[in-house]
Amino acid sequence: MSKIRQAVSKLHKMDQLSARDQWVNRIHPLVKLLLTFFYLILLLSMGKYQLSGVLLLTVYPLVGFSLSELKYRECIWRFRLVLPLIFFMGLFNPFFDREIIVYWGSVPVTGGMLSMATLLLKGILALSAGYLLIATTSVMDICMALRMLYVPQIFVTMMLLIYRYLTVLFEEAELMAQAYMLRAPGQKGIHYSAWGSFAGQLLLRSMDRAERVYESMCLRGFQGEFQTEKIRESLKKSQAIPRETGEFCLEVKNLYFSYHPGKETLSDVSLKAKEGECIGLIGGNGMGKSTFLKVLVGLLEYSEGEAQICGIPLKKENYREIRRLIGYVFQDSDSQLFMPTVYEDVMFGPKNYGYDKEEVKERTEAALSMVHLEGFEKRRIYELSGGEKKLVSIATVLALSPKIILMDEPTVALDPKNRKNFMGILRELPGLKLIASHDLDMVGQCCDRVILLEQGKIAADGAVNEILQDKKLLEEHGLI
Amino acid sequence: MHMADALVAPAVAGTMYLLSAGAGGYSIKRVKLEDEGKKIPVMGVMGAFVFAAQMLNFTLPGTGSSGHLCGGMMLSAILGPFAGFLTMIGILAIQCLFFADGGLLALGCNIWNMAFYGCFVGALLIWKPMMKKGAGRGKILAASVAGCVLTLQLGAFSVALETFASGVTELPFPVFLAAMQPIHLLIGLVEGLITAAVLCFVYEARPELLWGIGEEGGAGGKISYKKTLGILGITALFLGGVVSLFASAFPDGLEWSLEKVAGTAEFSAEGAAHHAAEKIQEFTAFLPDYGIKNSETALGTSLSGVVGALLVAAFCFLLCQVFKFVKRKRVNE
Repeated sequence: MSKIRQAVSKLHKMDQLSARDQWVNRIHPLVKLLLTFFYLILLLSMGKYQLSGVLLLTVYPLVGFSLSELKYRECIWRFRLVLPLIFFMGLFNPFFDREIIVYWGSVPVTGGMLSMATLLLKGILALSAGYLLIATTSVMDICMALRMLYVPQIFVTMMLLIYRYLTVLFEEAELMAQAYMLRAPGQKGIHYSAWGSFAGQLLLRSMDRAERVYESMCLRGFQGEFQTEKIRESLKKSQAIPRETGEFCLEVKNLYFSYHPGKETLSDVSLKAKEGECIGLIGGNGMGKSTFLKVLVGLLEYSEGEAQICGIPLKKENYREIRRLIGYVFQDSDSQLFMPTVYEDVMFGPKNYGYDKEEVKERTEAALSMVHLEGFEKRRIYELSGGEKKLVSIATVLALSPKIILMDEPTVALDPKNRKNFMGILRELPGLKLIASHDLDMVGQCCDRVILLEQGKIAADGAVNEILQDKKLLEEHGLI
Repeated sequence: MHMADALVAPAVAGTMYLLSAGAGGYSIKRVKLEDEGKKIPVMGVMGAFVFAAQMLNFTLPGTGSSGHLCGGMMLSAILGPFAGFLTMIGILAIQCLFFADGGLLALGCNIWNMAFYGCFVGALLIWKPMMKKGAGRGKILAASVAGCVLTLQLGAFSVALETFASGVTELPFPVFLAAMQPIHLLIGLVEGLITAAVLCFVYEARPELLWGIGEEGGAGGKISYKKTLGILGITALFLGGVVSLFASAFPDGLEWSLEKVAGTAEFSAEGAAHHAAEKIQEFTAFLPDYGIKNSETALGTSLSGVVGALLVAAFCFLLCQVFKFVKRKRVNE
């Protein structure tokens, strides 16, 4: 499956080039984009016999490549599939246009030969100009330049999402391919009869992931559009709503939820929690831990009961304000992180909640500092390890200064070193923390209170030592 | 099918940018993302899927060539034509702006050739009418193959037309077309089969994800079978009547080559068999050389195009009737 790995590496080759600290890279992206555009118009406006004019235009890419220290070989290698096509198009010209129009010395040159040479040179120069642009301008900078040209936001958002998810998709495809090959020893690739189900399965997995991405975006204030001044102003006003926070910042009373009518996933759940508490939510698989967390952030709507987050009733009309006060860290970090760089991902929430530029910057830097990721701002998400991704996920939530942080299986897929690091950071985090986990050791070390869920009901609620030392209770619920 | 910048003239590129921007603007209006915010990430992930699929080239047996998926048909079968079109624009813009695959000036052409036909023609004229009374494996296969073949043929035709209108090649238009269409017929067939395989899997696993299944009307536009046939008929007559007039203004590629190489396009053959065949042909051909007998007017050329289109339609109709008859007979048995 090295082909998939090659595709990923090819995908990010341009990223690495554009991230270099060169002065050409620092030129405003709009300038570079417009310059490329005008150069292409000028180049392609040259007539088919104007070889000398086209030759003059070689100056731009030559100077550009030299200043930005790009290698011609890499550029030509990249276009090895396109150049033969252009060559093929020009190849016929000498056969069909045989009129002699100029003599080079004593050598007669036909119109066809001249137009073929012009076409080939145009092709090489146009491709070089495009390469120069993308090798010196990052994805985000190109997107920003497009927005300045009033390209609709939807296209820019779409481009960023597609770009981000290409890596994730390739990774999933590789995992699926590896699983396939292990069950089909001796096969060189995926048999054509399995192509449909393989691609279909990949597609469905992608769709599921898309839903989680959307949830993550909504939890950080995304409303389908990037912020305009008007929206920003209205958001500022909405932040000013006074809240009455009593003794408890989380109050849940007789809460019910079901995915299917008649089959309750959460049943009569009641709890109260104070700011500063760290609560471990434990229970077997399918007992309702993740569902409970999703209900608390409004990703799922409860059918009966009452819930208040920092004094605000958990109702649809309050979701936006509530989600600023309650942060949710997904189990799968790739569902939570969707922007190209660490900085862009962490600033996504504050930006969507209408904070001004300075405050967005301050919040982003403070959040990264809280998870000890100073200096990670420019790092690409795809370059991060699993542990680093988890910490960035937490930082994305911290950037909104939540009063409550919910975490779903935060230590899953972390190695011992990253797990230890995560636990240290968890202890330093402010506010109420509610952590759904099977990792009883982590719960024992980090939490001061434990709630045990069984078939959607609270089976036990008490101090951490009291619950985790009750072997009989844990055995009864299949936790040891 | 990605066109490079060198193959288009600025005027052609500008025109195609305008056309694509118009279709894009209309799609934004129709998708109503503010009501369906969920669609944005779904579109993003679907876009990544099609992008990845486009990176995998498949060999076309016996041609020494390879092709890759366009994906417009697959996208619109899941997202609908408008969201599918916007997603395709995103894919093509990334390929162009982040990977230099397809030219920056040629982006408008590429959007039109690869996204417009796949999403609008494929989804509205083929997928939706075929699925409005419910889906099935056979229907999905037929719609995918028909949609991919038709939309790729239209895309290839547009590539040839845009390159020719840009004046970058001396290759006669019909010869260029003759090279483009058959290869894209094969690519269309393979893409249709792959699209069908994926959509059949989705249909069996999560049928609710497919767009336009069992919808009599809906957001995609209310297009009945009769309307579809009407649109296809008018398009065929237009192509037959108007485009043939344009195309016929140029000599056939083979004739042109013969004229250049041998000085004449007419080759004579001797023998009794040849004379007999010539007489039969003279008797049956009421529109020889795409024109009225003994007339070289544009009307004759147009008429022959229209008649050709009608003959093809009549043949298709007859074929459908034969299929229907055979099917009815089998059911009765």
